[in-house]
Amino acid sequence: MELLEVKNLSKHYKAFDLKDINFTLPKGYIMGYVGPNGSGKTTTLNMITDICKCTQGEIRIGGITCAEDAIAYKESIGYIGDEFYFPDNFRVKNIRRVLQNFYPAFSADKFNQFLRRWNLPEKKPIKDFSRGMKVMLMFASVLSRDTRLLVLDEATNGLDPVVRTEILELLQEYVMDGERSVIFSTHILSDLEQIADYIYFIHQGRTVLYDAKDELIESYLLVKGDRSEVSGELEKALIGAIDNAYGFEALLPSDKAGLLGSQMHYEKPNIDQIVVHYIKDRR
Amino acid sequence: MRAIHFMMIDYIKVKQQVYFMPLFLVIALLMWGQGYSILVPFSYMMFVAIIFSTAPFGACKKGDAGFLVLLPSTVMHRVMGRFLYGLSFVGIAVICCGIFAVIHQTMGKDTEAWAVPASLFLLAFGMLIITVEFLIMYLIGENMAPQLLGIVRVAPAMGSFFAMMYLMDDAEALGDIAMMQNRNDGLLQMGCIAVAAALVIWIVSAVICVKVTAKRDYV
Repeated sequence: MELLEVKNLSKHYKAFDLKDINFTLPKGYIMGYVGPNGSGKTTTLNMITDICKCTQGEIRIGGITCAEDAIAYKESIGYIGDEFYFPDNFRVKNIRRVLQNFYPAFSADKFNQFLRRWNLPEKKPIKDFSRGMKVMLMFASVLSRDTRLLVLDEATNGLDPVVRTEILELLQEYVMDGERSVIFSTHILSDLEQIADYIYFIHQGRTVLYDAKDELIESYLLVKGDRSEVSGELEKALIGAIDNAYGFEALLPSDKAGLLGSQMHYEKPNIDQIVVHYIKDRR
Repeated sequence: MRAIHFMMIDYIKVKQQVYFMPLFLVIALLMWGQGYSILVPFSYMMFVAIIFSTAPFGACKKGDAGFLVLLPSTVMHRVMGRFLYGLSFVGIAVICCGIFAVIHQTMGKDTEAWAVPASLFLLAFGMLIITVEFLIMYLIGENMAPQLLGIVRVAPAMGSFFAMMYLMDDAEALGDIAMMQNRNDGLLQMGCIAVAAALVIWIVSAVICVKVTAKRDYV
């Protein structure tokens, strides 16, 4: 059962076009939404959250669009952005009050438990919170109500490894019941390596790759060797060859493994390497 | 109800400024104590209401969208919440003026017969100014440049207050008040019509602002 459906999503700006983004995210899964800076990740996530409007296309969460039922649609989303989004002069008690007013499923007890668990001070003005505390406060606000889709836009940027690890564990816990999903944009691809089930990779507003993470990794080989051993056919099949002091490194579709010479080394790539070589290939 | 919750969010966002409200009330009382007509503190309170009603626009930042836009609500709830916030300051100004009037009566001072209709015109005028300011701010966008925001917020309020002071001085000098006193009945009706018209314009403007905002990106 699909929780998030994105169909033919496009957004036109003067200097940038996001075009024909299509994907679905089933219940109980985590999707990594990756791409270099300016590729359209935040634009896509902003359209999912209705912070910005799409020029074309449709987004459904649990089968409904925002236009059909804005309240139910927004109730189902928990959003955490790169930027801290609570107004500067808010205090924890103000956030709790607002959440109580707007979300029938908000649990003040659960919220307070998160505050205690992460040592978030009640009385301190939130503008004086550290980056880590601010992120944890945003997490407390979305996890203490009944969301179905977590949308994270580079939420783990600038966090120390301990907090980041804790957040990754939280996300895994979140989808564990098989009813909820996460779409997660980040530049820290090792995080996705750990928790993502699907990878969607965009570059310059266009889809480059979209597949289950394990299948994606199985689909490619990371090839290393000497340039002199690369035949014409192999040269064409290589993706994003990068020359270095020891020869070159490139991706090769697994089904082309027969083109490799005996002196070539190859191994399974990780997500980071797939993304880097694809970006190199498109430049 | 959601619109009222948004109004409360606006109050929290600008609470530091709202704390100064009693100070303005004292200033209005002091002005009145100088022997001016009761319309002077009325117009001063309306001036304060105009300034305060637009304060949340100055407290908007783009990053807030991730929280405020995602609250389960429609654009209408958000915009109506802001308009209710503005209207609430008009309400506060009206209550303050009512208190002045009661004190005025209790002290045994005569209230000029034209003061009530003039107050109604003042109220309608204040509402109209706030409506125009809200329209400008929503048409330009909630995240407008601070300098422009300052001008839009303060200039009409100051202009209207000083214009009121000037008119009153002028009217007294010309003996127009006596004339107004003779035509008091008609003026009272006209004052009521003006307030009703201002309220209708207020609602129409809110609807226009909803339409404009619904098409807008928040980033």
